[in-house]
Amino acid sequence: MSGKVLDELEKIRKQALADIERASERDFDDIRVKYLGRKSRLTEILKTLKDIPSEIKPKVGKTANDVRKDIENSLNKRSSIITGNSMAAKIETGSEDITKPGRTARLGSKHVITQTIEEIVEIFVGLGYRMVETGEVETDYYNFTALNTPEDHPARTLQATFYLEERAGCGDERTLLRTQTSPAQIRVMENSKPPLYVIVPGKVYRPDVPDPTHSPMFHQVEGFAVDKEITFGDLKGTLEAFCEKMFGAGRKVRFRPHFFPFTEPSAEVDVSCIVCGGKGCRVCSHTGWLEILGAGIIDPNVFEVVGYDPEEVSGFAFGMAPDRIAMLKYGITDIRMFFENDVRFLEQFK
Amino acid sequence: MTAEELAERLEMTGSAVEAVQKTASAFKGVKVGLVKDVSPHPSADRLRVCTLDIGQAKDLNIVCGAPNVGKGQKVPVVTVGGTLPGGVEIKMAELRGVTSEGMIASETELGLGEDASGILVLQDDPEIGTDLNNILELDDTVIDFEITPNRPDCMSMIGMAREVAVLTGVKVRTPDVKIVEVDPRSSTKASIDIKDPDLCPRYSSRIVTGLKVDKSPLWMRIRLNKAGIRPVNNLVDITNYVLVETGQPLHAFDLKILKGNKIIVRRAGKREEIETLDGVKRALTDEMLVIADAERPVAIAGIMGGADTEISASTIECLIESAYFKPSNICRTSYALDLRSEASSRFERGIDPESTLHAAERAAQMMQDIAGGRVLRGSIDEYPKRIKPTTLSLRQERVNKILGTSIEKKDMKKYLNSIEFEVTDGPEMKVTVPTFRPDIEREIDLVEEIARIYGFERIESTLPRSGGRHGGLDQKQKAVWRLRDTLVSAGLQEVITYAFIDPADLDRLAMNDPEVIGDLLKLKNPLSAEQGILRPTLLPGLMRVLRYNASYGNANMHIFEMGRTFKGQKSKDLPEEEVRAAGLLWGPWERDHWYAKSIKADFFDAKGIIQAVMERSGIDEWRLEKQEMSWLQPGQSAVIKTEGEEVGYIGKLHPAVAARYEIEGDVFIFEISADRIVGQIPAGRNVTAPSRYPSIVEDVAVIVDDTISAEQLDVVIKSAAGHILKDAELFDEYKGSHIPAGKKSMAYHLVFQAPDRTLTDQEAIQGKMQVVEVLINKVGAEIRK
Repeated sequence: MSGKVLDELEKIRKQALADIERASERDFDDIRVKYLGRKSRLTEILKTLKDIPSEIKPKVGKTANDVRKDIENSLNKRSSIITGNSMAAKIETGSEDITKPGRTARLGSKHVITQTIEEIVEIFVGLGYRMVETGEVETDYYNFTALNTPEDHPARTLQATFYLEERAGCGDERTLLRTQTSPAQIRVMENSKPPLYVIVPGKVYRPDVPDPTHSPMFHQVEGFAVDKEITFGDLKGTLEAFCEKMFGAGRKVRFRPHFFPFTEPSAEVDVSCIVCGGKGCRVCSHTGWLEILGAGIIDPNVFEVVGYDPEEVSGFAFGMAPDRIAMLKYGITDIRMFFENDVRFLEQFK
Repeated sequence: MTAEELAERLEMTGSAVEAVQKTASAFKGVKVGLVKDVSPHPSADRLRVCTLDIGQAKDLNIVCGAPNVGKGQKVPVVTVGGTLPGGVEIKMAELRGVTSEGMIASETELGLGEDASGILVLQDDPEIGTDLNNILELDDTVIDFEITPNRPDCMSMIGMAREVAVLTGVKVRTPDVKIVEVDPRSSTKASIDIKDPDLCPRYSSRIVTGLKVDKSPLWMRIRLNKAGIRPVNNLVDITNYVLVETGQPLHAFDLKILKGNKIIVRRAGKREEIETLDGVKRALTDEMLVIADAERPVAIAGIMGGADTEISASTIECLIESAYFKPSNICRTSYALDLRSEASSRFERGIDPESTLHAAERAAQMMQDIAGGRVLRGSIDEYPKRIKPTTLSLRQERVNKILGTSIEKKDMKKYLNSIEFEVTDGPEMKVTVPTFRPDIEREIDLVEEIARIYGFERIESTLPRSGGRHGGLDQKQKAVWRLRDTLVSAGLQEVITYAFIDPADLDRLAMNDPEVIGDLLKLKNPLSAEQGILRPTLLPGLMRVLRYNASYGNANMHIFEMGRTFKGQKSKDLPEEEVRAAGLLWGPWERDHWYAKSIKADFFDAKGIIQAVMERSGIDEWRLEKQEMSWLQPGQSAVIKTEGEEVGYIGKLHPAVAARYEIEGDVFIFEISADRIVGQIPAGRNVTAPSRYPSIVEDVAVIVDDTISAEQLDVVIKSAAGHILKDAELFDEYKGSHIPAGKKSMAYHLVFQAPDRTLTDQEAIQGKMQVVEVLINKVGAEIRK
């Protein structure tokens, strides 16, 4: 009797271990039920131990428990092997061709002129300037008269300024498309008191037939400072600081005497060539210098126009063309490219 | 100092250099030779054999065919190995049995002039053997200056010499004028009567007789050429030469043709006209000044002479005019007649009234020296309105305060003296300005002169000392910049187009309702009719960019522009300017990718961008309202409204408009007012702490009439479920089989969540049931299983 039970237990053990050896991950539950479940033969044997003669009971009991442990251990062991195998397999088949292009959202970009203007404005914001924007249509008074431009100055002719046609029922001031951002000087000074540190970006217009260096519309950034003791030295220091930030450290800056109606003394400002560093190249016409800015001490006549006392306050003003700066910076030889808006050109400035 | 160094240094004292150009002769190996002997050619009647000394041990034998060759002449000899313009090399040659060791050249052969009638005979006894280049100043450097409008004095050689003198400390030497006068007195030959001394304060003249009109000497022609002036004849060339030398424009009248021997300087009569030297008949007004004889105008004062009294080949006697005219009047006349000349460009800026007589005499002297003239005794010099030199006060501390320097008084004095300003010392310096500097009228003008001579480079760089400034962008400016950033991050490329547009573009767009475009602003002087008006909308610019790029084979466009639009305002000079942003989508939103095929952009791509703009701006309350617009396709055309305000429009471009632009495929556009949107931005945002408890998502799909909008359903759903419904996301819209015609299925994720506890499944299901019930009752929905 006892030999029969023990034989059967050995058979169960052998068969179970063989099944486990062959099993894949999804068979484990079935095997567990088949050999260890409530209705399995092994469980039945363990349940009927009380009916077994007492002299063999310990032996059968121990053997049955050993078989149970064996099956459990081997199941666990096999399971862990198989799970391990499938992670490795996943890793193995999960290799990607990482050289395929990535999935991106569409990347838009600002126009290169906008980028340049923002860069300039941010530098002056860092120097304590606030931004002001004023209208692109101006009156003759703000664009010329208040800026000390004589009545018969060539800049006021139809060859140099776009004028608007008179409209029925409006005032009698001549209106025009501003030729410079400088009218903002007058508008700001009329409405506020010094100290003033102001930067004015915007579009300006002149009736130039488009060619590689002319466009009837282009951009300017005007800046001015009015305070108690502004000097020509302050103008120099300010623009040198700007040029260093804009074009990189180590740039040389030079101020050449020049003439503008609303500043005196006036200067044209050159920066050492950003392409060749001053050695001379095609971009700087072999002079080593690039003309970047016009600047000067605000003319006392301008202060009188806005009701400031030129003995009490002084100031400087400067203007630059971001279009020109962008052309120099990126080696663009034709200003018209900015306004043709060929996206194949614009998309290069992402 | 080399020419380049000089140019550089002049640049730093305010004479901007346009160009430094080398001039060079086009020939090589040409020497001055003395014709020692001329003998007939043994076998050719028209050739002669010349013996030439060119300063070498051995004389040269040269065969010459020129009729004017003669013994004792100094002539240009092209030596063997030398070249003529065009690179022709002169070789040893045999001409009818006689060896010729070089060539005697004519003006034309040397490229110096038009005279080919014979060999060039050199004047002024040049040294034998000298290179011709050295005699004629052909290897030279010409510096071209950009003279600013405030410095008419620099529009002359003497003026520039003064600028050089400032740099070098050398004194300017001007040419001596030596005249041998002959009888009779000038005043017996002509009279000058200035009727309008306000416009002509001074009129100086000399009369020269016995003239012989001919070509000018070579040296003068070469110099004029370098100054960019084409030689004409000796009399004209002399007036031009003196103009370049002194800056004083001159005019020479043929005295024979001058009626009544009178010069009358007067305003033109109302209906007077004159034919000017350029052959154009010009109508004059009584605001213009003319030079007249007893009968008629003979010149427009300071601008151009008349054709009748022009110097001609037969001129024997001339009156040299050297006058000072009121600058602003010359400028106005020149502008009114659209006529500019070397003379007018100087008079309108102001010449030196004190040097008119000098210039007349200099010209008379040259006519005497090189045109066979005899100068009549005495000048005629009318100067009814004397122009006095200006005297200005100058404060040392004012100069230093403006410049940020500490220049000493004695140095200021030195600088001013160097430009011929006289300075009297005192608590305030008194500075007398020479009459050739009309630009110096105020103390600040003296500050500038001191600064440029002291040197801008010596002024120490500083930063403004003031504290208490606060820079930056204000809230509205930041919002506008952020709006641009949003459009960029939505994937659009910014473009910048001209603010002036073609009025025909508004017709192409069918955008001509005055309600929409307002009072249009026209340019008086556009470059072309296609740039005739200021844009009332950004759309024409975007359409042009689309068409331009499509023509280059671009398959899709996603662009925007931010800029000002213009509308005339009633009874105001200035128009209303509005900052707007407009976008345009055309073609596939993306190209085909390995992970997805391209999808064409549609209305909801455009709407998504507006959504992003509103979200970025913190504007929660906004909606689209269907409205027809003539340039948009009905049914996909809407205005964008925020609380109470219309801020723009969005839609699909009307196919008829697209056809007029020859664009194939759908175009989606929006145009919003950045100004209005920025005005709507709330001061803060309502921020809530996120719930710490999990949410439950229940899905529901309903079948409703096609006419019921997503917005209507949204309102109904949100009103039904109370505060635990966090969100209702439309995740599917379906029309087609299994759905009756005229109906659609709309499926939502309903997200339930409570802020303070974990919801039970029952609560979520109950919420969903409420939603379903309300949908059935309010919009007649059927539940889709």
